[in-house]
Amino acid sequence: MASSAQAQTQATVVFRARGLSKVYVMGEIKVNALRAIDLDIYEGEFVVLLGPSGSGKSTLLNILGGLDSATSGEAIWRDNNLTKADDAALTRYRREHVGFVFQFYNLIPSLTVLENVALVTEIADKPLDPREALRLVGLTERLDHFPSQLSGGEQQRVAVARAIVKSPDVLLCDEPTGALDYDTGKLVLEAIARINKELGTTTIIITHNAAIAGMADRVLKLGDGKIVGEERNARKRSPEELHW
Amino acid sequence: MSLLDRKLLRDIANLRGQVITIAAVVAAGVTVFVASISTYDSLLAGRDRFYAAGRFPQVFVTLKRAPLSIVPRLQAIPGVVTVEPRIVRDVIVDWPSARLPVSARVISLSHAGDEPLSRLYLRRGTAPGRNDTRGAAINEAFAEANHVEPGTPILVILNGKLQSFDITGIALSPEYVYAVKPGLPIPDDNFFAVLWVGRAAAEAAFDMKGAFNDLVVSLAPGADPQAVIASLDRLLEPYGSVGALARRDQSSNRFLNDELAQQRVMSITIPLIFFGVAAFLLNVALGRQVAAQREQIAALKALGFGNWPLALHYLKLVALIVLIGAAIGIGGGLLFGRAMIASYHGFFRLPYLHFTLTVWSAVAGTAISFAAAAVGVITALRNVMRLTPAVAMRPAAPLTYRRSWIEAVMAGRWLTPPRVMVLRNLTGRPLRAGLTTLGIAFAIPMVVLGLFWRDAINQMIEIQFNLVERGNAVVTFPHPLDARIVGDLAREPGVLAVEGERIVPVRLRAGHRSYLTSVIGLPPGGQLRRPHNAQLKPIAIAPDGITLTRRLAERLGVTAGDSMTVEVMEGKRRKREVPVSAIVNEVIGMSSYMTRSALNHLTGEGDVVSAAALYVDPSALPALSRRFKELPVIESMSMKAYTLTSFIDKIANMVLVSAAILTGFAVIIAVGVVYNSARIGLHERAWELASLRVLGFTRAEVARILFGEFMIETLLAIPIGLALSQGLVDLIVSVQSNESYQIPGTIGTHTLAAASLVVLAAAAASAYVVRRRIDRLDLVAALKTRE
Repeated sequence: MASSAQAQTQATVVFRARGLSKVYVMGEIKVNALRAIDLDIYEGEFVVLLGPSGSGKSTLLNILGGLDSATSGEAIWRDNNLTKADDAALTRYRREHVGFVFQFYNLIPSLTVLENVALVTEIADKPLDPREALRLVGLTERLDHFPSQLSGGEQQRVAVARAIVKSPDVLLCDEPTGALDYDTGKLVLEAIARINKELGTTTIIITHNAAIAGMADRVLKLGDGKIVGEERNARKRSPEELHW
Repeated sequence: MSLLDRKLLRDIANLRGQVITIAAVVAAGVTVFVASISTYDSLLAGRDRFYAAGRFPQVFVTLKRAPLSIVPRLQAIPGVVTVEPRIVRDVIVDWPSARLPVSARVISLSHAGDEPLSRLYLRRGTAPGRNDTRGAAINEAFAEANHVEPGTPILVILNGKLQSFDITGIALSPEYVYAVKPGLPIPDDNFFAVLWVGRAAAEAAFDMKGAFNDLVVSLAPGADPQAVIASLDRLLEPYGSVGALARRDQSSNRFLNDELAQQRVMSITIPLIFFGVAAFLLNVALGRQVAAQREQIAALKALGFGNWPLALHYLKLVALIVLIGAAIGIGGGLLFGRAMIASYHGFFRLPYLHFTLTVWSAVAGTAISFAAAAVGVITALRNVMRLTPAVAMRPAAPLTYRRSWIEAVMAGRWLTPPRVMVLRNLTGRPLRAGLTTLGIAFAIPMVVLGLFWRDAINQMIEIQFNLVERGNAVVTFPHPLDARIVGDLAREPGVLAVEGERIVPVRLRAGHRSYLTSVIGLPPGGQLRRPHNAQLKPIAIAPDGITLTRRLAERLGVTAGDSMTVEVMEGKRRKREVPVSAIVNEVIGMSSYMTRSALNHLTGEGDVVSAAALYVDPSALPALSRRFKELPVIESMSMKAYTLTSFIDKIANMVLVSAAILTGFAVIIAVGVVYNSARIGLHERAWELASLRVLGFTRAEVARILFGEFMIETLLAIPIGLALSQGLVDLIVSVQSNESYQIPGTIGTHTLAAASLVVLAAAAASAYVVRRRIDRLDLVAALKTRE
């Protein structure tokens, strides 16, 4: 990790985790989901968290996204200690800084494409124009359709547009292609890559699909609640070049 | 215990909020059903037992004076079983502590209270024997109001002489279950007593040795009362009979029966409505519960469970909820019914009035609840079981949403995405939204039905005592007096206006129908008693006809312009054909009006009066009533203020009990509908709401989206509920056929406001409870599971 930190000296650290641990108590069984993780993520960086299920990547993303609390250690967003924040503060953090993309899109079924994106502009300080956000993910038509009238890839791109319309500081994507086929998955990844490039949004994707790792600046491999490997890509590949 | 049964118990534990609210609705429905029917049955049984034990007569005759020697001839009339001649006279009581003259009806006893007809029920003490000239039994209502005990002396003015009786007993009589002073529309126990004295005492006091002036008659089973009445009238006319009355028109019995009829209407309509609502709620709430368990049901089916065991499983759930509710409801019905019967005690003097639970009402109430709930569950189950397990195990296809015309109408700027969500959720499930709205709407009539009696009584008082009777005191004279007495009364201190009235007992005949009542003769241009028409405008009495109250005209089957016979029942007993000149709207009694001069012309008397309406300076009223007590020319005096206060006090008690209980039930309904809808809404949309929370929406913002729907449904429900209330009140007013008083169907604004507020508050409270569950939404799960 020392070498990568060296290479990033000019950039600002946006996430800093130190000794971050999470223990789930399920009845009499304790599951160590995260074991004392240390981590820095830099502004504008594209990070892929890679690991099999149960490796702790979702837990890490949830804590960074303000959805879950840590058992010990700290997670700091810029100057905000997420591990000490209450529910209201975490809501404010998500509202002001985080854009989420979920595996199952989580669109609001009663709202059209445009309305799903516009929904978030209601609670954002400096939102983009919803149409502009949709254009960034390659959707310029069918804006008046309801989610049930769209394909999975289209729905996920709406979800990406919805996540970025508030100009978030960080985009967190939880298995964004997990429910999609190969081609549509690529379209969604292209949209995410473009956001990272054009808007400079710090982007973290969790996936168990190793092929996706090629598009990251940095790949963190998780296993059994620990970071077991870290790679830097000398050249970020475009999603088009990925194969799985 | 089978595993399904174990699941049942756990489901109930998990759904405890919904189980409690649904069971509460069942309990409320059963309570009202059981209480209303049992109260009605108990009143009916109380009346019948007392009428049987008290040997309540079937025919009643008042006459001037007849010798006892004609009794055998009366006894011989076909159909007659027993005749009991009596001496009955209204007298003035010297009761120094009373603010008004107290009058009493003295009734002779020949068998020490154990009379062959109209037998007394002695609460305490004894009744005087035939030859007792000192003792008297007194009615319980007066005794209670004036703290009379056995041994209390009572001074009575008998034929101008003061005579003292010692009270020997406190008694009830089937003739005076509801004791009203003659000439007053409503009872006033403070100023009217019934005194039973030995026949010897009555003979001496009224100079009636060997004679009688009152007759009560019992009939053989199946005998035609009209034929007996005709014979009695013919035989007794020479003795000054004012005409025999059938039991139906006996004043206490009529009032009691009117009240019973009222109770019967209420015991059918209110529970029906209540049950309708409860059934609907059970149906909807449990139906949704099953729909929410769709995936579980499919999984069980996939595991090999057949339809029938699964149906049975859910029916057990229903049965358990209904049984819990019904058990509470039957207990509640007992308490509510007892409270209602207790509130009747001061109103009706029935010795055998006890609350008895009508068993079939408990059984039927439970069965109806179960049926309603079972239908809801089975309908929902059928929808799930029609699907193959594979399809049913997947979540239901998402609702297809559309833009509705409402959005087109609404301003674009107002339509923010959260509001659009609320709107589309409503319009996407119009049936559900409609049913929820209707369910909430039904809570409103519950509150209104509890409170509207006060409005009705206020309106009755407004019509009768502010529009029609505009004086503040009425005096009656022991016999008709020259109209100059009016001028004398006008000179009494404090009297600002006085008008003489002539009140004459008459029998009105129209075709085969007849009715015994009085005609009130009013002075020309009178201001103190002004009959009003249906539009509540005062009308002048036509000089050449008779004006009838609406109920009386209906009873006689006549309308304005028809002709009818007026038979005067006193003096020269003249008969005359008279045109009906107008129908007036009065809420109490069945009176008729003529001008005083036309009435005196009809009776063949000069310008005489028998009562006077006064308007007295209120500060001078107490002094005036003390003075009138001394004047022998004044037989009785009633003061509006006293009459109203005692009446309202009595009614208020009765209204309060049912108002409080029905309002409580309205809260249960509103909470039941809103809480269950919100819980199911939350269940169905937990995923969507959690997603919004992840996107950064606050708890309050998410709650607003969920509750926006209920807010709109509740706001829509209020006008619907208010319209339902008016419809229901109109229905109750139209089905009751009451000759003693007519309930106006007016609902006061404050009642409507109170009903709306109660329902709004109940909805808000249940939303608040569900709101706390939003705080516990699992945000992480929303990311990991698909809807």
